[in-house]
Amino acid sequence: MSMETYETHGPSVGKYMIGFILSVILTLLAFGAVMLGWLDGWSLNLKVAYFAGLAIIQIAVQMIFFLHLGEGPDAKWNITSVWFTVFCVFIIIYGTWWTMQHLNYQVMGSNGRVAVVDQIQQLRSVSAQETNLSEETAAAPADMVSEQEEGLNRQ
Amino acid sequence: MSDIAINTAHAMEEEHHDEGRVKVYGFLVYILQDLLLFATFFATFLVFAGSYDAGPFPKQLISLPFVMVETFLLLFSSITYGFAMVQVHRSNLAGVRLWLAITFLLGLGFICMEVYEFAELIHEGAVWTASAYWSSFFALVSTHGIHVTFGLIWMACMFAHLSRKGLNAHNKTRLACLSIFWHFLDIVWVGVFTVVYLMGAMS
Repeated sequence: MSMETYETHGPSVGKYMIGFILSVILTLLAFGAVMLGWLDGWSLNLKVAYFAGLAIIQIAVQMIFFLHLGEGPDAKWNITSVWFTVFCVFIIIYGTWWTMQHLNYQVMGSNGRVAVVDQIQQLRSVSAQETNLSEETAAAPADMVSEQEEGLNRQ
Repeated sequence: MSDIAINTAHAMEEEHHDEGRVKVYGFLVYILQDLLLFATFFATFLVFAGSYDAGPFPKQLISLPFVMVETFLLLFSSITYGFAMVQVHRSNLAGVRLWLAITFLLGLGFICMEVYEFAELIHEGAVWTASAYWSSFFALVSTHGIHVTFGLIWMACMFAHLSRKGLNAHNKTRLACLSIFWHFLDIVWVGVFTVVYLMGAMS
């Protein structure tokens, strides 16, 4: 009896093939977009959304058709654990990115990662007034300005 | 008397089966926490995705056709392992051996390509000390590569297990755990080729 239930929960070639064909299509869509330049006119956000979307769909496809987590007597446990992990992964990846993006903007803006033009111009006028620098120095390239900005932060 | 013996045999089989189920679920939980490890590496990579310093730039060094072949090797190895699992459920030892051997060769091909790729990168000056980008690149990609290597070692051990005991309940449980491990490596690779290679080649 137990062997029979074991058999009925066994994986089938057909299901693997569906997952495989879907994965091949999704992979080709992702690589084709870059290698053949399908997205050349798109904005950066749209491009990121396109690739992230394809990746998430392919991960879901492989989990459903390759891992068979939703089948068998432990399906409920499997699915609960997977959703919990998805939740944690989201917090780790998106939370880190979001935090560091803001830190970068607020604290490390002078290191060249984020160059916000109006901020730099504001700093230029402030530093020119406070340190009584000549016009030429005030119009110095961005790396000079960032040095002044660091100096300002220290004060 | 014989009825009791049969019932006991059934009960033992049931117990074995339950124990196997618990082990497979426990292994799934382990793999899911392994996914959290990869999540931290992905997060690190995303934070440093633009921190090249003066060092080599990934856009000039990434070869997409090469990565595409790697991707398909791993994808094919995932489906061939699936076929091995179908044979496990049919209790066909020869079939399991055949598909496991094909999976092993595809995985080995992937690792050889990755080692070659790393050697090329290091030759071009893209070492892990070059910049924060390359540190996080090697941390993420090589952790995946090490996992694949351990999967191959495990597969080699499975051949030894299979030749000693055949397809008994223990070996079926081991193969089920290895299948979770192997399919998850392909799932992580989907993230790697999307975030590291495709987005790297676009930026």
